[in-house]
Amino acid sequence: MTRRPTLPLLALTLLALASMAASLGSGSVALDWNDWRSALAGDPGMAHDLVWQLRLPRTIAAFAVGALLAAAGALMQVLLRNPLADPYVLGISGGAAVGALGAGMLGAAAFGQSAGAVTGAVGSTLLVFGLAHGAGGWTQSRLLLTGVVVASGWGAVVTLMLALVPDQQLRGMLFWLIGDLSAAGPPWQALAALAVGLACAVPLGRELNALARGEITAMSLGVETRWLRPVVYLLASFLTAAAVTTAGSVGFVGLVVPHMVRLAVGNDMRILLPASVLGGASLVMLADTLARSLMAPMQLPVGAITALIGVPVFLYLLSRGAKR
Amino acid sequence: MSAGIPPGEIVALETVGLGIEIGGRTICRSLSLSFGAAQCWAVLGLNGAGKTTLLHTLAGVRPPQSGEVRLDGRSLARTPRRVIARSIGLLAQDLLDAFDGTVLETTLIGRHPHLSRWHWEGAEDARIAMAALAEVDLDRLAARRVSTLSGGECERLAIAAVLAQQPRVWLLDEPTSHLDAHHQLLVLDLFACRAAEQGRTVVMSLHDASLAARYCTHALLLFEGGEALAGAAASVLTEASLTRLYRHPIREIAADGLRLFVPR
Repeated sequence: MTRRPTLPLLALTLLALASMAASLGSGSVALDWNDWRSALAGDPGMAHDLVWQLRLPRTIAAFAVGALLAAAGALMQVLLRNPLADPYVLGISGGAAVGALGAGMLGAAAFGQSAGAVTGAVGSTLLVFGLAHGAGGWTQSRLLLTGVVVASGWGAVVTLMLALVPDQQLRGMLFWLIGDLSAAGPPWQALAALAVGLACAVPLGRELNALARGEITAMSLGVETRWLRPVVYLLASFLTAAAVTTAGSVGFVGLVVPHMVRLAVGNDMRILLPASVLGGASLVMLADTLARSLMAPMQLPVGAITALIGVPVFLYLLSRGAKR
Repeated sequence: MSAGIPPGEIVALETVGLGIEIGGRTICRSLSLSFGAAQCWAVLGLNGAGKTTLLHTLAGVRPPQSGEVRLDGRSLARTPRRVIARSIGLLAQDLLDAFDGTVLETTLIGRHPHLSRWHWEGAEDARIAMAALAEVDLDRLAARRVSTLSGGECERLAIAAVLAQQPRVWLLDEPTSHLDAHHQLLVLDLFACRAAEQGRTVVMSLHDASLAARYCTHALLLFEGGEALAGAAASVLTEASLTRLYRHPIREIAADGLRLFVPR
């Protein structure tokens, strides 16, 4: 029979809820049971403001960023037929970084930086798409090489910017590059992007499974790869751009989460996508909780924590999977 | 083999003035052929003669340079891919799978063209997939991960998936290249029976003219320079034509009622 791993999905849902509770419950001010009751009941006061103005938006931003990156990573891995691809491999985060940091250098405020990040991400997406879609058609290796080269081009521009920028701006820029939720604005765009992206991607699940078997085989199974591949590429770029615009380039989530989840639920994209969303959201919510509390009142960039959690967990799962 | 349907009466797939070129090389020019129900075709030719390219063109995954391929009289270029996939199954040579699933999951992908967007593979699909696995002697490995299979087992798995697709026309690109002698005969016998008893059409590229003579009703020889010779296997597979095809002297030997073609 086909595997429908309800158990792993249920476990991931519980993990996401627990991570959410941990994220909401931790902070510089300890809230007791009565504070929570009055905050949730809507009584005005310090607890209410703390929960609704600060913690909930932050938690939701962490949820959305993690979910977006994990879903984008799962899509990018199928598109490139490479389990080691991540959402940044084709230069989307580099484009966004150049846009955001460039706007910051020109003195733009947070909104200007977000607009810069969106512009950079979309511009980079279209640039890679246009360059890879040249006369020779659209092959995996051509797309990958174009993306990697464009990404390193952005990397060079970012390095140049960091060298030129005044010192007082340097710290903020570095945090943005590592991935940081402390400057995240309202999370609602990211959440909306997640909903739209999943609504488009989940119905394509079985087609994506066929695409993972190779382009010729997918076509012979009735998949219109001529439009499916650009759609998946644009979808993954859109999800990544939404995440990067919210929190900068948080690393490792898009690579590690789909891979980890794959070891638990298998390769069926219909299950892998929602499972990655839950796993990615949990990882970033937990990482952000740690980032806020490890060295409180100092806040660490969440991207450093996701990598510190992700690397050992991934290596452990990989060695366990190899023994099976 | 008892033919339920007289060979050649129903045309499943046909080429009309088909011209194929790849990399400046002509594979065939103005090729007009009918692949009928209950026919089993062997496509023979040297490496690079264009067997794979021809099969891809017949499957509609590659457009021809001129002419067209018709399925039930309708041009493939004007037929939605999903509709084609319900009638034509292609066994491609790229057996590599970057993502590891179970043997049964991989077989079930063959059910894709029969399921609507919102349908999940059901008990009937699982039954079809298990039956396909049993036919290629893989049913005991249904729960195994694909990464633990041998090359020959992977090839049989790909064959099981294209069996589970249940098309009327099978296009098989070197279905026996990784198989041991026992499984070569098993697979060829399987498809020859599907053609003869269920009136399906099989077109497969092979490198062994003896196996082609043993199992196929028809043969298509692709010579260099875009020339082709097609017809009943008995008349096309001869010492003279195969010697010309392989540019090497080939001798025909009769043994156990079989025609064997041996390079000198």
